[in-house]
Amino acid sequence: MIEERYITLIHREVDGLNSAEESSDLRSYLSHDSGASDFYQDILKLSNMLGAVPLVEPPLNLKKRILNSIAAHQPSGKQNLVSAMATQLVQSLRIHRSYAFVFASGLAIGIIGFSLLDGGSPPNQRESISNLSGTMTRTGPFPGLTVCDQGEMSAGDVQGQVTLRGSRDLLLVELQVKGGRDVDVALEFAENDIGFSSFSQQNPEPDNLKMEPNSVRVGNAGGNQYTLIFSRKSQRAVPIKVSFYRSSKLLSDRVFSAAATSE
Amino acid sequence: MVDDEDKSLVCRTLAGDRRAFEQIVERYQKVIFNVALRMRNRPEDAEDITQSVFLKAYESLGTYKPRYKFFSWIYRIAVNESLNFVNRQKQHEELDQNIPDPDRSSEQLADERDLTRIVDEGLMQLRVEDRAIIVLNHFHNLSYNEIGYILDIPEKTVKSRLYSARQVLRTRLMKGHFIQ
Repeated sequence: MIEERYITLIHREVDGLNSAEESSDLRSYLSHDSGASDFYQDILKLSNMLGAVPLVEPPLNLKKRILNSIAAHQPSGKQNLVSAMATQLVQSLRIHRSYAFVFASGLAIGIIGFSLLDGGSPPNQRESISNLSGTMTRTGPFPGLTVCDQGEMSAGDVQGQVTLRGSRDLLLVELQVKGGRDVDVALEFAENDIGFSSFSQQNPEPDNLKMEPNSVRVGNAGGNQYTLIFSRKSQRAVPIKVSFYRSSKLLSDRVFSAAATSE
Repeated sequence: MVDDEDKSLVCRTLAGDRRAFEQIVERYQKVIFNVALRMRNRPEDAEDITQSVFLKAYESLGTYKPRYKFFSWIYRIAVNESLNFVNRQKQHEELDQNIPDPDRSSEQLADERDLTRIVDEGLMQLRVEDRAIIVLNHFHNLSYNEIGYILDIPEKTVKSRLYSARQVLRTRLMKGHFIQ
């Protein structure tokens, strides 16, 4: 009959959790008890046997099946956005979580506020040229970040307003595009300077974001507003080139910059 | 690092970026499929369970609390879905064809020489709750603490159930002379 304490030690030994002292104690016990020694060997063999079973590759069509099944669904909760943004900010800014939540709440309210203020056209509906006039300047909803650069871009029936905000650790691009939906917007940057973190859009449009290490491209961008968050990898000045394309043809581009910050 | 990337993908999914969720599927479909497969031992059922896990995860992404690791959260859904599936099936099946006859001769089993099958057959003889612990500990190398979170039981219970499940499995496999 194996003592209960040694049964536990045997399992812990197999799991690699025993201290040196516990291992030594167990070895001494096993050397005097052949039953316990056999039990230890069996559990060890069992563990090795289970560990040798390979993971099975899932069928090739499983991913497609999963994605098809979620196509008609939405992830739940606006509160999530705040929570998720806060997590992002904690990671990017290394600030206390409670501050991150306050900031993220502001961010989310700002995004929702944008959508309420805009009263813009529904997705997939082309706006007429006459609706493109008027001021595009907005008060930013991101008081925690200072405006580094901002400006308008124009190319025929498409107009854009770009605001670049930043802090020591974070850059945020607010992008509003008015006009045809068949325009793509590309943001190009040096991957040593910044890394793309997250993306939100006023009118959700599936599969319209393409990411590369040194660029982000938003497809069907007309009549929508976007917020793109980047984490800063260096304190150097960060230029971001914003380009409008239609059918791969460049319509307009402009470089926006965040100044260097002190190391 | 992986966890940070997971949380970033969750954030982007919640912001409407479905490609981010596609990346989550790519990252976790294999491990989730394998949890389901070891719990159920039928590939077609494992596919259904995996699909259901990701659909549930997508729909309830808002309930994910970033203070926990994302993989623990999705494993939790996977184990619960698997347990529910197995329990539902039990009500419809008098005898699961995949559960081996305990009196099968060792010669019959020895001929198969198939480690995976031998282990799977042993697993199917465990209580489904104990099976989950073996699967998480031995196939996915999760700690007692992580298993406790996933199964919503204290770490102490994880240990005692893991130890007794191993002993039951040892006895079964010894009977088939796979552990000698």
